[in-house]
Amino acid sequence: MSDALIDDLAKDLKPVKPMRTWPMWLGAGIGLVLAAAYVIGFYGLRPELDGGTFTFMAIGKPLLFLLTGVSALWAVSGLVRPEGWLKWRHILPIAAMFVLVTGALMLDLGRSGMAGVSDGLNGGVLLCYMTIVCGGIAGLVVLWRLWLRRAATSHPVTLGAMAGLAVGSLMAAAYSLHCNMDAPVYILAVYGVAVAVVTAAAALIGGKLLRW
Amino acid sequence: MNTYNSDEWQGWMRAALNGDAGLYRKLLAAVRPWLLSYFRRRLYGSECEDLVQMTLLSLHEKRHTYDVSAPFMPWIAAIARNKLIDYVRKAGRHVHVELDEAMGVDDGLRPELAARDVQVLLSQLPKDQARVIGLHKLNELSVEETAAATGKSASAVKVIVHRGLKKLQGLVGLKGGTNE
Repeated sequence: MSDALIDDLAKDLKPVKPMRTWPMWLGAGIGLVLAAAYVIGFYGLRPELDGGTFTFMAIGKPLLFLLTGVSALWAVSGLVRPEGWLKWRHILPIAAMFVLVTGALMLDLGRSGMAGVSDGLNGGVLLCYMTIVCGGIAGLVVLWRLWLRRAATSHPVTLGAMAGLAVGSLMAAAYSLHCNMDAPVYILAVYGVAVAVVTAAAALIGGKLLRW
Repeated sequence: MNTYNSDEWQGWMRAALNGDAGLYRKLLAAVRPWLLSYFRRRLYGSECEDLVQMTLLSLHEKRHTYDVSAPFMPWIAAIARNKLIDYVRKAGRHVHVELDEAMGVDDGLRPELAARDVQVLLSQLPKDQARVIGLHKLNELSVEETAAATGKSASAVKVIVHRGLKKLQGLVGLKGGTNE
């Protein structure tokens, strides 16, 4: 039985292109540029960036999500093969970002109290959610169609989650070029939850679609 | 312990990706007994030959995921492991889950890779439970020694090991199998 199968598989064997990770990086770069163009074109740049004033948060917030997205993509690149494995060095930057923002929120809570912190949630919440979730899901669909469906991972849920975290974070990086809501509570409760929604959706989809 | 020329297999796999049907056939024929041995070590029953065929099919369908610069054995071992887990989940069959790092070494895997297979399973458990099982089953400490090392009572160690192994059975889809 196996001999016949082996003959069948070897017969008419065609060369195949090994799966590489550079198309993922290239696609993510192009996607980020398109997302930034959409955000700037439809919503406009945040006032500081528009006026050429580069404040700490005007640069720091997009950078925070960019680094999270890049780290998640790095994790994806390590998970797409059967022997792939989620390594600490892949998720350490993501954990560091989370600790940084949570720490800032705690400081803010200590300084301004609950009432002061909740003031930071006023403005643009729905637009932020919708842009990150819809943009992230769109990015996920493109990533899946063009590259991710060729993956053969031993960890489908984790791979899905990391892919969702990557596209959600990159979309958040693009959106933060427009948004000037910089309070830690806003970054966690609005950006963070929107990215978490994309991550959770992608983890569910990954568990279903990336099975052996 | 079986010995396999993984460097040779790696070369054949590279050639197969370039469309060399002869070397691909040679590779599949060489991998087949390794797979059979791999599954027979883990699965009771006569389904091993079916699993070998399913794994060969997966190898063929997923061959583009082989990294030409990486060793061949971790790649094929991961495919075989996934096919086994998938098969057991679907069929709900009895399977022999060894918590013995030497088993993977017997399959021709490097010790660190064999140990990783066990770590994959243990990482599914709470840290404390995994530590106790690791000490008792992998480091072969007695119940009393494990209890002393973890600061737990001997009976607590027994309960933790029993529950942990039950949970591991559940994780690989067992309805009732041996695990020691």
